[in-house]
Amino acid sequence: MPEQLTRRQMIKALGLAGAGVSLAAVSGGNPLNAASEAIADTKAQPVPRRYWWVKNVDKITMEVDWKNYKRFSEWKTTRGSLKEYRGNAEDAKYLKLQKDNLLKWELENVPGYTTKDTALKNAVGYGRPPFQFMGPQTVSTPQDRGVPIYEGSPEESSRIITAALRHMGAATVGFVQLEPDSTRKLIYAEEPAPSKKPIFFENVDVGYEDEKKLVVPDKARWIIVFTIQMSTETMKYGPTQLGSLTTALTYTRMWTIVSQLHEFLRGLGYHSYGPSQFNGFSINPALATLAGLGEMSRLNRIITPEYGPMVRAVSIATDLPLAPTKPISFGVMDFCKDCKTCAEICPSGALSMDREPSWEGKGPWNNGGAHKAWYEDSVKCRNYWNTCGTNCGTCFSSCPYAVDDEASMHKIIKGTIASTTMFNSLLVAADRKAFPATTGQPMKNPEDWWKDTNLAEMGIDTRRGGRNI
Amino acid sequence: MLWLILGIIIGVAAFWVFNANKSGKITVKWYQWALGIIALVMLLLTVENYINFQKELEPVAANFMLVGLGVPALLAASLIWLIPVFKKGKANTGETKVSS
Ligand code: SF4
Ligand code: SF4
Repeated sequence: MPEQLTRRQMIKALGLAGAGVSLAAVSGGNPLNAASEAIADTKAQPVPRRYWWVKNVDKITMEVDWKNYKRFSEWKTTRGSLKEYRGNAEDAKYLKLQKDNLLKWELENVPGYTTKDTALKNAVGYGRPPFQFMGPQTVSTPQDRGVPIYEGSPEESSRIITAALRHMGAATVGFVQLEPDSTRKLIYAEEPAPSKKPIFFENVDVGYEDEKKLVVPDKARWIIVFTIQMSTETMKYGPTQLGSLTTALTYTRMWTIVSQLHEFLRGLGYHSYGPSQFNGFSINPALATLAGLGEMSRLNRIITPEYGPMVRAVSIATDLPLAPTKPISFGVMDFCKDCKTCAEICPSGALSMDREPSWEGKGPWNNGGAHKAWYEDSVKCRNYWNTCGTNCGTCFSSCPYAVDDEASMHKIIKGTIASTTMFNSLLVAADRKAFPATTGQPMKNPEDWWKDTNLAEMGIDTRRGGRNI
Repeated sequence: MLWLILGIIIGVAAFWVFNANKSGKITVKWYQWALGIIALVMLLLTVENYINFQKELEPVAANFMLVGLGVPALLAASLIWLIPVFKKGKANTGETKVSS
């Protein structure tokens, strides 16, 4: 199989010749099945433009037993089943505590919880287009415009998707090929509560959603997974409302970018399938790890070379053939064994203090048993969220990787961690002195944030990543 | 701009030391070259990281750089002078002992 298909080879694979026949594709035939099969084994490419210390590897740095790995139902996470996990009385107690605390702290003008902090946090959560399984489906298709669908080699297609996504506001972009015995298991078996609809793969031309199920066609074999940068600066004000607006704003941006990506693919003449609700489609940290956007960590979340843990990840599946990207290694899994800063700073004791990752999950909210991870006690974490009134995030802000990239020392340290484990303990000790964090407290005074009227737009530096390497 | 000015100052200083050493005005031993280069690299890293940590709005990290990298850089620089003085002192003490 050619590593890179030319336009001519692509047309041949499609079983077509000439522009007139391309238009036949527009009129609703099924040439993409042939193309999908022809391109099925495109060799994985490295994610372009990485730091020198990021190694491309064939296998991810987390151990996975694909044979025993089972598709997971999103509603089993604490997002969907918290009430069952902690019981009705306990649940009501925590919800009341959250309401009472937020009111008390706003009335008392506690820094980070004042009326201005609350108002801004609520405001940046506004403006999210609804998630839809197949996207908004409002823009014109090539068929509508009377032109052939877009054609390109998988490598070209990956490149244009990356360029488009970067322009829409994504940080890093990767691609995973779905295989029934492995990577396809990372698509949730059932979507979130309350619908809990099953997600099936079927041998159909175009997927669909009805009362009972969501259907992804077998030929939608490519996952586009991307990260969205979060503000390292505002996260430092967690666990307050001011810190919590970091994720609120990132989710607003994510909602928009996902809808735009669906529409971009539609405008090229292809179909795409993604979350119909918040986190409703796939296990995104795992897909992002497979696509080489980062490594899994003690947070049980991804750490990226460019932004550390300060990202959100999201994925959609498409029938546009794409070139998968290679996993990476830059020392995170080994560094986490020596670090434990996040687990020590966590006010609820939710994060694992074990040196080694384990096969066993901490509860039914984890998809444990078939991959080695530092599983978290999500119920403890959620209880603390209700206590502090927000989604906390102090484990993220205290992580040595949650830093900007202006100072060269960050690159020297990350390069050292990627090359040897010898200095890990020394580097952890230095990080705790340079970026001191206290359990349950913001790392900086939230009132000072309001005094600086010249902070970066959306709190992020968009020159980071590819452009600044 | 800062880096241009620093570059000119370092360039002129290095040129002078090199020429003075060649013409015999001063004698620079191999370990003094090594210490000088190490101290210079550390000092430049200190300046660069101090400025950039301030830009990152991380004053604690910036000050940590001054102490963690700047002080060792100054110590390395001071050794360029201290080692010959120490050696000279030791030699003088040795001579006194022999003559007594
Ligand atoms: S969000 Fe807060 S409570 Fe939850 S794991 Fe992180 S530090 Fe712990
Ligand atoms: S704080 Fe340390 S242990 Fe936790 S994720 Fe970050 S590097 Fe790993």
